[in-house]
Formats: sequence, C-alpha cells, structure tokens
Amino acid sequence: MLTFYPKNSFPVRNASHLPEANQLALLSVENLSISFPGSHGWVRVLDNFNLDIAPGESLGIVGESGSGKSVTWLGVLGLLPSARVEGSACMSGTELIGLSERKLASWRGKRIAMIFQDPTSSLNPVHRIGVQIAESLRLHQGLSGAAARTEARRFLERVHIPDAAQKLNAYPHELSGGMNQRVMIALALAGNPDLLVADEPTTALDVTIQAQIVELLKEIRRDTGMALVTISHDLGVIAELADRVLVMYAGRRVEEAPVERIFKSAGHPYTQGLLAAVPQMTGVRRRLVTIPGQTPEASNLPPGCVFAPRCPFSTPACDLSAPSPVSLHRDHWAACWEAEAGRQLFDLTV
Amino acid sequence: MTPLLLETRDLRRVYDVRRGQGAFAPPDQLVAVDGVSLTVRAGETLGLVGESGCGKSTTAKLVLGLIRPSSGQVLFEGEPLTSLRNEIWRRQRRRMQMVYQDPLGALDPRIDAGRQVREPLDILRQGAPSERQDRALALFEAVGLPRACFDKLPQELSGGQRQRVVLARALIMDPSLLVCDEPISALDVSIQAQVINLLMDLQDRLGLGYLFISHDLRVVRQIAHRVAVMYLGRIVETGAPDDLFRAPAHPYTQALVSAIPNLQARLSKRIVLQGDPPSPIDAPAGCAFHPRCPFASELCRHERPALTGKSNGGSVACHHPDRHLSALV
Repeated sequence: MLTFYPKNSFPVRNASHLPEANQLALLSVENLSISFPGSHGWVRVLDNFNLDIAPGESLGIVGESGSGKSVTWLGVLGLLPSARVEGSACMSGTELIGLSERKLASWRGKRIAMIFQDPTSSLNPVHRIGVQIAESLRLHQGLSGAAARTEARRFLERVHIPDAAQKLNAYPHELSGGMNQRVMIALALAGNPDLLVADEPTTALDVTIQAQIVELLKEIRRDTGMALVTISHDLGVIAELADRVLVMYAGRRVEEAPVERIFKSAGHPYTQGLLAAVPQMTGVRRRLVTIPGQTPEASNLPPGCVFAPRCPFSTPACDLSAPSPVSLHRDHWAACWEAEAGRQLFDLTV
Repeated sequence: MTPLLLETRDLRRVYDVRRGQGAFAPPDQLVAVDGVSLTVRAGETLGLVGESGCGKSTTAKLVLGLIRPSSGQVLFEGEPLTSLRNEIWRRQRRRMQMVYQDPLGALDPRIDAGRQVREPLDILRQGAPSERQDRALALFEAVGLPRACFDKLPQELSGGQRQRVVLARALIMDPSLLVCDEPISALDVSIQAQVINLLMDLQDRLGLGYLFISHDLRVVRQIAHRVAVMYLGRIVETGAPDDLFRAPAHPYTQALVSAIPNLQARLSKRIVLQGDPPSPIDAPAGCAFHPRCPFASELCRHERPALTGKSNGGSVACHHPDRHLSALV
C-alpha cells in the first residue's frame, strides 16, 4: 500500500507544558489532537482530548461516524502514519505518543490490545487460526512449538469455541463472523493486556451472535480484571458493557457520566437527542425525536460550540465560544452552556 | 380494510450449488426461501425480521419479480406477477419499487441527484421535459431535500440525503408498494430517526404499502403494523409488533427479543442462543431451529411444525409454543 507522507507528518511529542500524569490512572490521555492532511492544510479530527482510564475500569465511548471515537485509539497506538498526533498518552509512566515504532510494537497487543468491527478482515486469510494465535503467543509470551499450540487451544476454549482442537486448523473463511470475532478476542487475550479496546465489536454481527459476544466480553472482564474500552454507535451495547460513558461529537467530548445517569439524566442536548432518536421495545410508540441537519465536516467546523447549528436550544453565546464542561452531578459533566442538572431539553412527550 | 396490494403464496426458491471442488462434485440444493406466504395491504407495513442468510432479501427479490420462484406465486394488486418480460410486467414493476441498504451503491456516482430522480420519467417519456423536471423537484421537496441538492453528485451529499434521493427516485413512478431492504442500517443513529419518520410520513400521505426488511427489532416495532420472523427460509412467527415482542411464542423470537442489548439486561440474565444459524444447504430435518433450541423434542427432530394461528391473531410454527426460554435462565 502506498502511503502519502507529507512534510512534518511524523508524530510530534509536545507534552512539556502538561501537568504530571495522573498516577492512579492506567492510561492517561491529555490534550491529544489528531490532524490529517487535507487539500487545504491540516484537518483536525480530534481536538484537545482528555481521558483517564483506571485499572480494571469499563469505559464506553459513544458517537456517530466522524466523532473521533476510533481515531483516538489508532493515534494512541501509533497506527496513523500519515496523521499529525499531538499531546500525550501516558501509560505506566511511559509516553506513548512519539515512541519509536520498535518500542511501540511491544506495547501493542501486550499492554493495549484492540479488536475491530470486521473480524474476518482483521485476520490473515492465508494462515490457519492456530498459527495466528501461536504467533501472538510467541511474540507476547515466548512460547513455541507444541507449548504454543496447546496454549492456543486453551485460548480458543476460553472464548467458548466448540471443537477447539479442530478449529486450530481452520482458516478464517471457514468460520462464521461470530466465531472469527471470538478468535480475535482470543488473539487479544493472548498478550494478557491491561487494556482491551473493542472498536464496534458487534456491529458486523447478527443479533443473536451479538448477544453472545457481549456476554463473552462481560465474562472476560469479570474473570481477568482487565480494563475495557468499548467503542460503539449502539447505545444498547454501551449500556451493557460500560460503567462510565463518554459521548463524543465532531472530535470533541460532549458529556461524561456513569452509565445509569447517561440513560436517565443526560445533560447535553446531543446526548438527549441521540437517546430520543432510538426507537424503544416497550412503552407507547411515539414519533422519534430527530436531531436536525447532519454532523459537520472536520474541515469546516462551526465556530463556538460544534453542535450549535443542530441544537434547538442554542443561544447567540453558543456561536461565540466553545462551552467548557459543566458539572451536573458527581462524576457527571456536559460541555454545554445551557446544561443544568435535571433539565430535559428535548421534549419526549410528543 | 384497505385493499390487498401484495400476496405471496407458498413461495419457494431453490438454488443449485456445488459444494465440493471440481466439475464433478455432486450438486447440492440450497433452499433460500421455503413456503413463504405473506400479505401487504395498502397503507400497511409488514416488517420482515431475521438474521443474515435467513432468506429475507431473496424474498424481497421474489416479490419484485427480480428472480423467479421455483414454486409458488406472487399476486400484485390482485393479478399474478407475470414471469414474462412483457408489457404487463413493466406496468406492474412501475408500481413496486425497491430501496436498498447502501444508498451510495444504489446511485450512479457520475449523474447528479436530480437527474437520477427524473431519469425513470425520461426513459419512459412521460410528460413534457419541463413537467418531468417539476415532478422531480416536487419529490425532492416531499422527501425533505433542499433545492440545492438537485444538481449535486451523490458523493457531495451526506448519507441521509443520499437515502432521501433513493426514496425520491423510487417514488417518482407513483408506486403503491415499496420494498425496503435494510433501508437505514448504513446510517448514523440520528439520521436513522429522520429517515424512519420520513418513511412513516410518506406512508400516511401516499397510502403506500411497505415490505420492510430489517434485523433491527426496535426499528421494526416503530414502523411495522405486522411482523413476520424468518429463520432459515421459513416464517416461524407472525403477529402485531407489540404482541410479538412482548410475548413471543417461538423460542427463536424469544431469543431475538432477549438479545437486544439494553440497560436492564446489564444485570438480568439473558437467553443466549448457542451456535450459529445452520447453513441453508444442509438444513436440519424437522424443525430447522431444533439444533439450537433447548426445548427440542423427538417430534421436533423429525416433523416440521406448520404455521398455526394463535388466539391474538398471530401465528407460530413450533411444536411447543407454550414453553418459554426465560424459565431456563
């Protein structure tokens, strides 16, 4: 694949002005910005992003396409060669942004593992499943030969793949999407990471298979105590897997709260609109609330609050300056000038 | 009751496939759709629910006459859908249109949106050119697209706008039936709600019948008047959405409803079906669901259950419809 490397495109380390990283956090992301080269200069898709993840915590990140929810993690793991990544991502005292490729390779998979939406294209189509897991075990745990194979089989059993011994010899195309996602999870577990980032782990799967994978992720988290970041556009998946929820819009954080509060007393109009746009399985059927317009392009963001042009409650102040986070409750804030605790902006009774 | 728009009788579609490699491998039969009978009335939405490979999309193509059934019949507006590509077929096809999942794939990338909407009228030379233009503009307004989008190429539009263009194009021949195959699956959540509301408004205004295919039970509950659940080519349960989703009788429907992720399921145990749906090439004997069903009895392994009526107007194809999976967890 050809990659276009513009001038000065290499990750820039620019953390000198930042305060000391949170010592309690497993991963501490501060002022992370990511820009891609566009036809008229750099386009910033993630803007001054901050996030702390505690060991063993389960965080859900919700957002629509282009909100920056996936690109954050690709940036942290150094997987965006043509992008400009600025800011800091600190894990166990090591700064990941700007780390050499060789050193980063020992972090990927071993400390932070990532699984993606489409498992079949994440696996190598020309290698058997067993070989791919054994390779991961060789890299991360130094196992080889029969030991690696036995361990690979144990990992397949760990993710509840039936006939694990036979499945080691299967190619990805011989397995279903759900089975391949289990293989991906087994691969991720092989490095025994502290943090698993699951990027839309169930989006490509059927409903009943999605439920299987959600239950598997819950179980693995319970048993291993690893921290889990679930990235999804599906509020239901987030509701089940996350303890804390972060809502993103146009490369910015707009709200953060414990999961129950996000669903019961969201403060940001975007979060409220997103919740009201999803049809429900119970209760009276009402007309869906829609958020007018569409997500702005990263190259053409509105001044002030990025949500203001779509927000039914925007005031002239919203167009002037970007809102700073307002605390609504313990561990709950929203970046909105109009947010107040207990205020429901979208009328859900119609 | 409004008139019957669409009726299918015992539709069946079989494909010959070769499972092995080489020219002499024994042929196999893949039964994609097996005995599907359904109806859609004017102004009504029938939601067709099921997982990938269950035959939803094949059913859609059979309904539109895009593929021919191996056996069975499609009746459209009271007359059989002809398999001859003649004048009758062309007249029928104008009255039934399709909306696909991926609007970008359904639109020509090099023709501007307005001309694509007008094109069916141009091809059929219906009305004067200025009338065609006016009609296309009127439809742009009807689907909530700004006038400025008329001269834009599909790539210059957002996902939601593209799906509106596809809808406008489907509506320009003044159809009575729209077959929507996962029409909102490719869209973002906030845009999905816009398109769902639009589909419901258009139905109210134009009295359209919808065959609405989706894997998303929430969306189906929102939009459908009746629901049919498919599993491995057969309809296993039908009913009004609230009856069906509140008290599903078929174990498969029970599992589908239980599989929807939500805040409550965080704490409670859910019914998780084991395994994947079997391949339609070697569908299990008896009830196709029995290998995944915890209630499967000897009867289920040998005899296929027929779709029989329930007291609330729905129907279910199960030998043990009184058993509920939630009793097991």
